[in-house]
Amino acid sequence: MAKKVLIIDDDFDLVEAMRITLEAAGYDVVDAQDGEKGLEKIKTESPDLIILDVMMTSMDEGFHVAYKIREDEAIKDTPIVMLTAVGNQTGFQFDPGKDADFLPVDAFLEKPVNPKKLVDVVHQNIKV
Amino acid sequence: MLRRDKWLIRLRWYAILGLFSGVILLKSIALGPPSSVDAMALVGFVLVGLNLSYLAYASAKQQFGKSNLVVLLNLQMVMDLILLTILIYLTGSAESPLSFFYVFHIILASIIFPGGFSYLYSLLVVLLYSGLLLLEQSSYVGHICFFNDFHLMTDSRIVLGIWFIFVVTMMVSAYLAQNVTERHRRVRDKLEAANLKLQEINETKTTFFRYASHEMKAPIATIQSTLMVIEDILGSEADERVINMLNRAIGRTSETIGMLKDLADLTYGNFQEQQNFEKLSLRTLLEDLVTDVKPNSDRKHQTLTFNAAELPFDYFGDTNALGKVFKNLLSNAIRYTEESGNIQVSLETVDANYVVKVADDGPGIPESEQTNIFKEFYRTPTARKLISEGTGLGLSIVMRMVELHGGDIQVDSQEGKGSTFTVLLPLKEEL
Repeated sequence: MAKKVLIIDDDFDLVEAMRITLEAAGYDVVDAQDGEKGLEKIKTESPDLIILDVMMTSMDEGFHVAYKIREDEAIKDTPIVMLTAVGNQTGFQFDPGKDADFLPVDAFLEKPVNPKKLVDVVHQNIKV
Repeated sequence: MLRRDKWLIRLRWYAILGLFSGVILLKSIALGPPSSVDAMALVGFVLVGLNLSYLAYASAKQQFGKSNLVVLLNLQMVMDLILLTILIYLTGSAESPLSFFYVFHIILASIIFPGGFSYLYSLLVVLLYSGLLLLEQSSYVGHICFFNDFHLMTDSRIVLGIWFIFVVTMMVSAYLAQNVTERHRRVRDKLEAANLKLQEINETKTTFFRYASHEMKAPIATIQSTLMVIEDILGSEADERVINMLNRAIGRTSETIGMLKDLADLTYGNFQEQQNFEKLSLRTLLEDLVTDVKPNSDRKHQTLTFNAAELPFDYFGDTNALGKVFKNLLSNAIRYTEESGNIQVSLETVDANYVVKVADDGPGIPESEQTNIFKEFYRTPTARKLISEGTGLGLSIVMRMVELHGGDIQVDSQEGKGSTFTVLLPLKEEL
């Protein structure tokens, strides 16, 4: 059975671009438009990996979602790949290299998303 | 200046009023020789005439040049002092209490004129007063015995007169000092308010800038992701022209994202919470950066070397900002230096500064263009010819970040011989 990836991102086109790439690589893809719906879908769909955007309805919604996932016994082991924007335009200082320690995620993926890199990162981190 | 001129004219009317009141008082109490008192009234009329002409000149020539106005104000002050000296002479020179009035003329001069004018006026006052006393002492001018036969301390009219002059001097001095302090305070308040407003505008602009660049970047990043997926799906089966077109489109989106990132970097440090000053080793920072960019210089078969003494070069700075500074300079050197060229990075301590040099033997920058390279969006024609892409923001960002550290950046370049960028970072006491 194909592994399932849940994409939590409010950018429909980016979700579609990632869906096409991941489906071509043999994954099942489900999506959610914000953190709240994302948390529901994690429970109903039991994904094998979550791709999570940082900025959705609020500037740091992705971080809160990541913490909630890690606090929930039932889903806390699901791998998370966090989508980050280049640079610090929002004034929200964040450096995957430096801040990875206190962020409960497994990998970072930078926007724009390179298809090959996306498949590599998902492949490396997905639950076996 | 014109306002000060009008103020001086207004003050002179009060002085004239005081002078005529004094003359009437002296007449009524029969103090002082009548000829002297008449001469004082004459001085009053001369002053009225002069003040009317000053007023006419100021009103008729609202817009005359500043230098003309300074000459006119000086003329007024000198005339006032000469007339005051005459009044002092008429009221008994050394025995006249009117010499007190010199004091507020000096205060007036210091309010009205900039710089050392008040010292010049003090000198003039000393010269006028000493001259008067000397002329009398050497009998070139006869002394007017204003208080005549009266014994100074027993005549209450004289004591009252001196007391009155003393009070006037005190009050006028206080008024003048208060006036100048008040004016200064008002100007300072206005400046502070204007400065605050400017800061607010700047912060609003920066906030807008940051959000706008992010809002613009997000859709472009998605467009690029989409294009990359399409390219990936089409693979090698598609027409070569289509693939080239897609690659160009991806390249252009990358360029735009780069520019938006650069624009956002330009605002870096505008907010206190963005700055992250910490203890760092400049040596380690540079070593890491040189290692990072080494593959790029290797691809061009360039020799990239780093020289520094075996010291940590501890510095109190913003790692992120300094990283951008040196990475930018290094990347430029690699980009613009020909294949097999040489790039040298060095770090040393000179006087109270850490000095970082990035030197290359690339094409160099013509002298006429060197002053422009730190301007936003400026790219030298040579740079454009060598590499078409580039926003012309890199060195503006470098300068902004160096200034954030209170440092300085200099360029030394000769066409055809290479360029050396020197960053001076002042040693700080925090360490």
